[in-house]
Amino acid sequence: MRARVTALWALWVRLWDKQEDPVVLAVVRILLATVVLYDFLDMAHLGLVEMLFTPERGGGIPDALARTPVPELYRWFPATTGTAWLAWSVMVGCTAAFGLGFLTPLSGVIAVLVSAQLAQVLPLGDRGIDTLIRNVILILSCSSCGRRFGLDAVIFGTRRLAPAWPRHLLILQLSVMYFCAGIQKTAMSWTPLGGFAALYLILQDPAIARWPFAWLGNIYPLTQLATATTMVFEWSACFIPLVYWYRDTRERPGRLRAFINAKRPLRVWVALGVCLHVGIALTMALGIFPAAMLAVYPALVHPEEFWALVAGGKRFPFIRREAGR
Amino acid sequence: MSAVARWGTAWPATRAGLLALVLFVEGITALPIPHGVQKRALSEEPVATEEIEAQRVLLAEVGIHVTHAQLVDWAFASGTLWSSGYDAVMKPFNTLFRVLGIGQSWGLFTYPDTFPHQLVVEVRRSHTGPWERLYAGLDPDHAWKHDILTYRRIRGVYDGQTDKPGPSWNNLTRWLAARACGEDPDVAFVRVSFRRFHTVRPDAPADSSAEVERQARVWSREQVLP
Repeated sequence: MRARVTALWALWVRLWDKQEDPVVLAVVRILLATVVLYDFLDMAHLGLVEMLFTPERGGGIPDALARTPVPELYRWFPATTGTAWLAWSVMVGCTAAFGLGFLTPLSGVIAVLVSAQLAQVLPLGDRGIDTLIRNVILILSCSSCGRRFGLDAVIFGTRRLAPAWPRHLLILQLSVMYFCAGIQKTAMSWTPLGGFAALYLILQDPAIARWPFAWLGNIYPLTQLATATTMVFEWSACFIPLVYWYRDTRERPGRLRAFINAKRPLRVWVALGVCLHVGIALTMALGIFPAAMLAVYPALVHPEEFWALVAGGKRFPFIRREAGR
Repeated sequence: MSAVARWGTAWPATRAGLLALVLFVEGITALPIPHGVQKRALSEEPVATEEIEAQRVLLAEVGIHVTHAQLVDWAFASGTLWSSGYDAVMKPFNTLFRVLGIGQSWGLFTYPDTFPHQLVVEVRRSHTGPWERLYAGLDPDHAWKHDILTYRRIRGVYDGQTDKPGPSWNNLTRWLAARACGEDPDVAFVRVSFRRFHTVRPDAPADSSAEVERQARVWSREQVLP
């Protein structure tokens, strides 16, 4: 028994001790920072910074000072529009620095802390995607993603080999998020018992739909198919770690392992995910949700695959140099 | 062996242990456990009532006969039990999760809202004049401040307060009223409300009986402009 536990522990340690090129993490870093920056700049462009992040005493809409605990931001700073702009500026500055890969761990952690404060100031304005963004930035802050395509690479030197566990955690994060979203869809309308009516119903909600969708009744079966596909996609997310495990242990025997490694079902799953989020972007007014989700998708690609994918761009000296390594 | 070399050897195991702890805690937060279950919400909110009734019918079809009230009691009791257990386990980590704003709660459209709410903003130019519609969700003819009212964080504020409006609903309606009065000197009153209606499947008969105005707030120019 003890030997078995020791062997399992050794396997667990080895699992998280792998090394790879952090290029994919750098791509996620740049894409995600771009999405977050867009969101905060859009907020300022709409003139909403003071309204969203100043407590009501200072002229905004949050009741942050009436809740317990009062967010640290307004325990340490006055409840004024100036503080709201300060938090916004630090968030934008740190996100830009994070995207540029400048002092990446520090800028990432500060961005997470400020974003969490803003979430506490106005909880209803903080959506699930903001939680996911903070989760991902925190993981990336613990990685060497700034040492690839970032200013940290210029200052401290490029790292072509770094721990792979942050990318593995991102894969697990996507898997958990989709699977949990799937199993929590317990409303009848997500199931055959409710006629797979969920997407049709959601698209009739004026707070969610991007356009009026009363006409969807004419193509109701297509919305039912989309609902069923969404459920299959989300439930199947629990198999993603298994697919990676099989890929990592391809030399071992087993028909299922051989089948999965031969057929590469992950490609179908990723294609479904891209279609799902493009569909959401086209039909629902959910802001940065689809773009932020897709920004994390590159983590599903192994660095070797990433370089193979961009091999077509090898006529560009930069890509040739980076891919050649 | 030097201290640095010893640390280099110990680090992979330490990291694996830390990651195991992180995955354990995050795994608990990912469990599909309901939080803040309220009996009133289960027995009075139309979406919950409709859903529980559908489940009661389904159970009856497989030979399990329970009343609607019994199902509400069971949902409340089991939800409260799970929620209490979760709170006890997560207590040591609450501060960390709050400060970092992280979590694994992913209820994306768990219950499609069959009683959705349309945000409506109206103005009146005198004490007795008619209400004039400025904005109505998804209405292209009434799209005042459309970009702002569809911005995801603003949508979250009003869409999250349709059943139980809190202080930020008052503050949002007041803010909108101030903008409407500021832009048009003839506006005397502003009313912000929801129009709730019932969405049914295309193969079911339409139900207009559930259409009601909810959570209306009326602000006068004197109240919102100094």
